[in-house]
Amino acid sequence: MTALNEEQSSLAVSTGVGVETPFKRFLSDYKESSVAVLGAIGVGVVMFIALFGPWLAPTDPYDLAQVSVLDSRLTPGETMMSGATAWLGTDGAGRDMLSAMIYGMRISLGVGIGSGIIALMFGCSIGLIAAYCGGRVDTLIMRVVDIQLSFPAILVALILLAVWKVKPNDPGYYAIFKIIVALVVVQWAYYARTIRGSALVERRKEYVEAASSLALSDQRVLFRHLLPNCLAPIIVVGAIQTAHAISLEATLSFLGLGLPQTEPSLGKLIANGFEYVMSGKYWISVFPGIALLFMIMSINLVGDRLRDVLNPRLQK
Amino acid sequence: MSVFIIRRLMHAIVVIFVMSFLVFSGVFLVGNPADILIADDADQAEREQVIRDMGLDRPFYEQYWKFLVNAARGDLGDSFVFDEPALQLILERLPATMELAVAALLIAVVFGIPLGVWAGLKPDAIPSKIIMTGSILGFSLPTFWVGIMMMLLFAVILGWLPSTGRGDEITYVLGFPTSLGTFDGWAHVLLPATNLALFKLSLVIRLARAGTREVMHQDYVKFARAKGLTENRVVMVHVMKNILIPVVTVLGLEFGGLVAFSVVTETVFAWPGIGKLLIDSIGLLDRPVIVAYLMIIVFLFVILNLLVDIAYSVLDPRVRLQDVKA
Repeated sequence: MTALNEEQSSLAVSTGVGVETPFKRFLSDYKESSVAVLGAIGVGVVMFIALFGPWLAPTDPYDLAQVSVLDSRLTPGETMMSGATAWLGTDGAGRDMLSAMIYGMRISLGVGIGSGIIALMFGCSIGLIAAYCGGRVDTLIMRVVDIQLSFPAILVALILLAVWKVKPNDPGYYAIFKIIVALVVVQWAYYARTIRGSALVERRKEYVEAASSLALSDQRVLFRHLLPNCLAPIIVVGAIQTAHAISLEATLSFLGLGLPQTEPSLGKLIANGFEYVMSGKYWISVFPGIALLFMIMSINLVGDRLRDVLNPRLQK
Repeated sequence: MSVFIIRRLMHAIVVIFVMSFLVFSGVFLVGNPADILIADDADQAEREQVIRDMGLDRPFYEQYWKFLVNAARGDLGDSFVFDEPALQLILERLPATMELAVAALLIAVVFGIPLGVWAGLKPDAIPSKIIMTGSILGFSLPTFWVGIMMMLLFAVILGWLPSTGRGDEITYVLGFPTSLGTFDGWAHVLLPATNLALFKLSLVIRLARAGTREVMHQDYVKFARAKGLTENRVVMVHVMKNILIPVVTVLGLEFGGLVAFSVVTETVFAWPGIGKLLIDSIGLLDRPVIVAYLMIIVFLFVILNLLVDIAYSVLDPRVRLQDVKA
């Protein structure tokens, strides 16, 4: 098969005609919407900033040796004690906003994607089990999913974090762990419901029957045959849920139930700036908000486009 | 019909029990409230006395049973901070939250339906595209940040509207305290209600637009046109009536979401409702109030879902027939 593909592609190179692979088809479908391409570029920029943040940031906002209280609440463009320019101003503790935002983006995106991946794995396993076992197991699992989805996400997260509060003296990784657990609990049901829906359709198809009649183990049929064929809707839900998780984390941090001062996400930065809004010091809460909006919008645009492209009903 | 209602009612009771168990055991597992309540300089004997008085030395199932029995009597415990029954504290603040949620719902409907219908009637016009882009923004923007921005713009920079609180002039309408009886009250509610409404507004716009686009191709619309009715009458009567069904159902379900989300808006605008009470109580570790809030909001949700289910089955017989068969 691979040999054939190689032969084809070498043929294509020699004749100058591109061979249509599923991925290429997907790419050309995706590119039809210019807004979605902008969204993809936005996601790329956000990823780049998150990955290489410490090298991009002008200062390290959490290195106490570099931060001076004398720099606090500088307006955008003023010069800090160290001689560097605070392009986006400084916050109440004298940290450069631009640097703080770059570090905050890392945390926001990390928490969003991290919780998304765990919820995806967890939700998909449960949803697949429900679809594959059917009967009572299915009824029980779907009852739990239905009940959870009848409550808004923020309420579930509030219940969880009201009970299992992040304490100010929790070490950073433990606080992040708590938030990720809360976000996973909020999100898993969406994945479970989505994959169950498509798995129920796929299960009746012949290839699954063929795999079962080859006496492959349940596990193998589930994860090697059923799962790959249910991936398209999961990818879409994944993109939308990640944006949602980032927004939810920011909201929780703003409410004081999210990440602590030592691990400030964009939401926490906005919350810090909220104190100064009344005195007109807009930059401390405006700029992190714009960064947050940019992140969420980009991911949503990509997710929207993926939904259109990967939807089999809309395929030409 | 009654079989359907009884089934749903039992379902609702089970959900309330499960949630009460989860919330209570969560609180039980997480830590000992005695550590927060008892002064640091208390000696061992005093500690044990307080723990015994509060019933914290009893095993879990006994405490949970006591909580259930008291809850059935309408006693959800006393607030540690205010030294008042937690239920009473919440009920005192509930009207403010309801006022905010209702105002937000009104804004979502009054602006959302016309904008959505407009966008559905002329899908390719530029204003429609602006409306739809706006609705994507409404979905993406984090509520709390928009709230801060609105406050910054309208209260701090322009100084048109008050930024916090509910206004002082409370009037009683049908026994419920409300500040909407005065101009000052409306000025106070405008910013928070708009903030809370943004998400639902986007939702209503999308629903109304999708509904309009679907309905416009139906035979009865063509027939109404063929009868020579004016475009206005076709849209206002024939189209509107048919798009209202999904919009009303979704809004019924989403009203609970408004109450839950008001936690965020109330925190931003210092609105004295139950959401702010919850956040304050979490800050002060006032456990009985937290548990009481969570139980009441779960109760509210279960009731809302039950009502929507019943209303739905009345409107659409297929739903209840399906359920009886299952």
